[in-house]
Amino acid sequence: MKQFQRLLFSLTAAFTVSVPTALCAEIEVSVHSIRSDKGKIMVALHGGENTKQFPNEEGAIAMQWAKASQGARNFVFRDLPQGEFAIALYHDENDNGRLDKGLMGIPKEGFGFSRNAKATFGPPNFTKTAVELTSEDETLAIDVKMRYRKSLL
Amino acid sequence: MTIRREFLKRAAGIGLGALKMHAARPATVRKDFRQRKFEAARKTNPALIGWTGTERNRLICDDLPIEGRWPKELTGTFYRNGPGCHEVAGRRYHHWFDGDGMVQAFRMSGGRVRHLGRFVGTKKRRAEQKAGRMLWSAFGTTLDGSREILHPDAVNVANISLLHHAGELLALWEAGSPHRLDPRSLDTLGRKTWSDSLAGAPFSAHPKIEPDGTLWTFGYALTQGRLAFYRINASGRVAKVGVIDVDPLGMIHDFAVTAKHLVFVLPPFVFDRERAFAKGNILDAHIWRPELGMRVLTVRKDDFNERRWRQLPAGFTFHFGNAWEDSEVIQLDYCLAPDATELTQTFREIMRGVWSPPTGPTRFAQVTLGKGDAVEQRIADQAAEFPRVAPGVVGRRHRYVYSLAGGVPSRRSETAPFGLDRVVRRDTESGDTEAFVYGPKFIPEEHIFVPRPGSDSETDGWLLGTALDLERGATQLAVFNAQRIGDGPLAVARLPYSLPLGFHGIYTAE
Repeated sequence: MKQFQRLLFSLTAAFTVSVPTALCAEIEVSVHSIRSDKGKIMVALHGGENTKQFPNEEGAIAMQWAKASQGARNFVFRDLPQGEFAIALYHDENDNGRLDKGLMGIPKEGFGFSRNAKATFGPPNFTKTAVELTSEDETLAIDVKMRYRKSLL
Repeated sequence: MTIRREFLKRAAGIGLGALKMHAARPATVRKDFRQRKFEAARKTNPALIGWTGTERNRLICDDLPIEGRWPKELTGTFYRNGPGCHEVAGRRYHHWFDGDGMVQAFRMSGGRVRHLGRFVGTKKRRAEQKAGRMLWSAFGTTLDGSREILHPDAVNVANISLLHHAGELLALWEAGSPHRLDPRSLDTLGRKTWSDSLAGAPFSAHPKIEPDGTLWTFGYALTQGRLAFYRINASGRVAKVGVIDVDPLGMIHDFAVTAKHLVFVLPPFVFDRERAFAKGNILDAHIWRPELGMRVLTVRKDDFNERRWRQLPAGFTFHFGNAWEDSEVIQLDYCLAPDATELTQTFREIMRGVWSPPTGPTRFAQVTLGKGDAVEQRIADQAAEFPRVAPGVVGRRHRYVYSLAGGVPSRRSETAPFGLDRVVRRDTESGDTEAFVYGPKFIPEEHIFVPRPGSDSETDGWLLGTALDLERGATQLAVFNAQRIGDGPLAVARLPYSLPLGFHGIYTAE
C-alpha cells in the first residue's frame, strides 16, 4: 500500500509540474485470455520520465489491480495528460505480490504488454509497447492478451 | 504431371471430406532462394551432401557391410547427434546449427554393426511437421511472422550432443531442457526436468561426468544475462545449483572441470538485446567485441561464491579437451579460433552451398592458469577441433587428447571443410601427434575414445568415429586401435546412405 501511495504521489508531482492543462484523457485496458480465477491481475502504467525502467514496477507511474477472473477483465487509467504510455501487466496467480520467475529469470506466471509486443528476447522495451494519447479528452481502448509460457510449450 | 495428379487427388478428396488434409500439405513444395542455390551448388560439390539433410524420419540398416574385423569385445552403442534437416517445406535454414536434431545409434555386438537414425520428437518439430511449414525463427534464421518465443524450449531442437547418465539417455541442446530418449527405439519420451526449480532451465551440450559419476554442467540465459552451474549426483539428483549475473554475456558452448574448479572461457562475442529485437535471431544478436579479450572464469566447486576472473587475448572457442590442477595451478586445453567468423560466416554460407572459410583455423591451445592473475597460453600450429579425452581422466591429469586435425592450415580444399582431414592422438606433454589421414575424399566427424573394458589407460581401447565418404556419397563408421591410429582403421562399417553431418557422440556399453 505504501508503494501505491508513493506512485500516486509521483504521478501527481510529475503532472503538476509538466502539464498545466486539464487532465481528462483515459486509457481503458481490456485484458483477455486470463486462464483462471486465482490471484490477482496487476496492471502497471508506464510513461513520463522513467520509461527506461520499463517494465520494472518501480518505474511505473500508476498501478491498478483486481481479483482475477477467468476470461477478461477491464481497467481504466483516468486523468492522463497527452503523451506516450505503455502497459505491463501480469497474473499474480499465487497472490504473492510479484511476478514469479524461474531460475534464469523467465516468467512463470502470465504476463502481457500494450500493443501485445512480443517477448521473444525478453521483455520488450517502452518504444515497442508505447501507445499515444494525442488529445486531452481522448479515451484510448487497448486489448492486452495475457500470455502464459506453458500454454506455448 | 505433378499438378494434374494433385488435382485428381483433390477432386477425389472432396467427396471424402479430405480436402483440408491436402491443403495443409501441398504436394509441390515451393523452394526458397537459398534452397535452390544450395541444390544447384550440390551438383558440382559432392561435400554438400553433408548439409543436404534428410526428410526421412527414420533411417535403418540392420547389418552394415564391414571391411576388416570389428572387435568383438566392443559391445555397446555409439550415439551421435546433429541437425538432421536443413529445410522445412522448401524453406531453408540460414545456419548449420538450426535444424532439428537427429540421433544416430550404431549398435555393435558380436563383431557386427546395426544402425538406427531418428529425429528427436521435440515440440517444435512435431508442430512444424503438423503445420507443414516453418513456424519459428531459429538460432541463426529469422522467420518473418515467427511465432513468439517465450521460452527457449519453444524452439529447442535438441541437436548438439547426448548424455547417458543415471540410466537415462538424453539428447542435448544448450539453451533449453534435455530431451529423454528410449535408448532402444530412440522414441522421444519428453523433456527432462531435473527438479521443480530447474524445470526448463538451460542445460549445456557439454556436461562433464567425473569418474565417480558426478555430473557437472551449466546453463546460460542470454536475454537475462545469467549463468547457472549445476552439480547432479551419480543417481541423477540435483545436488547444488548456483546462478550468477554476467555482463556482457554471450554464447558459452563448453567448459571444463578440475578436481576443485569449474573453468569457463568467455569469448568476446556477446549478446545485445537491442540487436536481438532488430535482427530477430540469437546469432545475429551477438557482437564481436575484441576489446573485452577472453574472460576466463574459475568457480570453486565447493563454494560457488569463490570466483576468479582472468584474461586471455581475444579469440573464440567452442570446445575443451580437459583441465586439471595441481597445487592451485590449472592446466587447460581447448580449441582456439582467432574470431567467430566460422560461426557467423562459414556455417551460414554453407547453407547456400558456398564454402566461405573463416579468417583463420581453429587450433589446439594449452593454457596455464597460475596463482594470481598469471596466464600462459601455447598454441599449436596444426588445425584441430572436436577434442576428446578418455572418460576416466575428466577433470584429472591427462596426457592424451584425441581430435580431428588438419595439415598445414592454409592449404584448404573445397572438399575438406574446416581444413580437418585427419584424426590424431596428441601427447600434450611432448606435443607429438599420431595421425590417420582420411584425405580430401572424406569429411571425418568427431572421433571418441572407448576404453577396453576394465582398463583405465588413456590409450588402451578404441577410437570410434564416422566419416562422410564423398566418393560413395555415404557415411562410414571406423574403429581404430587407439594405440596405433597411424595404422589406419581396424575395421570400417559402411552405411548404404549418407547421414547429415553432425556434432557430438557418446558411447555406452549397453
